[in-house]
Amino acid sequence: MRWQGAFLPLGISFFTFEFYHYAWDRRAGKTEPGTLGEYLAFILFFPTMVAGPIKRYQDFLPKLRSKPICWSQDWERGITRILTGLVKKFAVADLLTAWTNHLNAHDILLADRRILPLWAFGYGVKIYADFSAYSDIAIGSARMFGIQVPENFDWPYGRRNIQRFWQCWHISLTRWLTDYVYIPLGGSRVSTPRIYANIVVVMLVSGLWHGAGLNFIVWGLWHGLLLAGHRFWRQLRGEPSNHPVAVFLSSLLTFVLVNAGWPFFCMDLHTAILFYRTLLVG
Amino acid sequence: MLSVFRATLEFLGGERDDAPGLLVGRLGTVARCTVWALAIVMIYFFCGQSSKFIYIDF
Repeated sequence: MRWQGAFLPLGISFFTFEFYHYAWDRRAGKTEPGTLGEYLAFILFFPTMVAGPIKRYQDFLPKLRSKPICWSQDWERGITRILTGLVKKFAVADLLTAWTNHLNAHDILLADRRILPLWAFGYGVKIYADFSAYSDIAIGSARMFGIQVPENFDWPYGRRNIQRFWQCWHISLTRWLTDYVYIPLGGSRVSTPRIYANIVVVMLVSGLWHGAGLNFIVWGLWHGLLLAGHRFWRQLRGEPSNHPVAVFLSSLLTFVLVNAGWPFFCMDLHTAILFYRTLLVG
Repeated sequence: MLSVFRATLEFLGGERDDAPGLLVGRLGTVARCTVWALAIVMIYFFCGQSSKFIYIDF
């Protein structure tokens, strides 16, 4: 069973998504083949190889072929972006580890239940700071080669509904899942029950991609149900009000619901259930 | 107001190329230098707590 640990990350890693994207789009005639060197530069482009952002060959190729317009600006912007990422990682994400380390069965059992939401929110901020920091460093490194890769985050925690949240959180993954899972399943062009099923399936795939554990499946299911619930609500009530109070309350609700899902992401299923039992029942 | 604040943060963080109105010219250069200096100081003080990223080390 030892080989499983080596096999799983390879099979579900970021660059597999880029292989799949290239193969699918080539087959569909959506992209030109390019030379072998260009293909290798695309898949082996080290700034984005380990954890994204997940690139598109169509976007990458013109940037690879064109000569950088202004090296000094690329370097200045790239280094600034890398420094920003390092500050987010060290001064925000790592600092919150003091809180998030408590997310284990022993500490949950001993804790005052009122402190538990703070630990979950702490993890929500930490994972955002941590992953967006990594993306900043990757995007900044790519920029120093004169190549602008896709953004991965666009202020996701300020969004007013779960659909907008996912359009702004890990953007390159959301786009990939939309193009290569949701649309091939029929997307929004099928019957209403199938649309809801497609949404849930996509988020289950997203959950499974994040990790091969039951907790990740539950996390994916939670977001699938939130997205399906949001779609149902929009169909029922139409366009939302743009009154500032309504915008603030819906943004707050989205923030709370997203953070309510993180315990399933960062703990195994039994510990996450213990977390909720302690929080809700005591 | 909020969009100007956001544009300023994005410019100082290296995400945006175009400087917002307030930071065009000499003031922008001073602001960028200050951001670099502050960032280096913060990195120096806070580094070393972890060497792992969540999305790389599941």
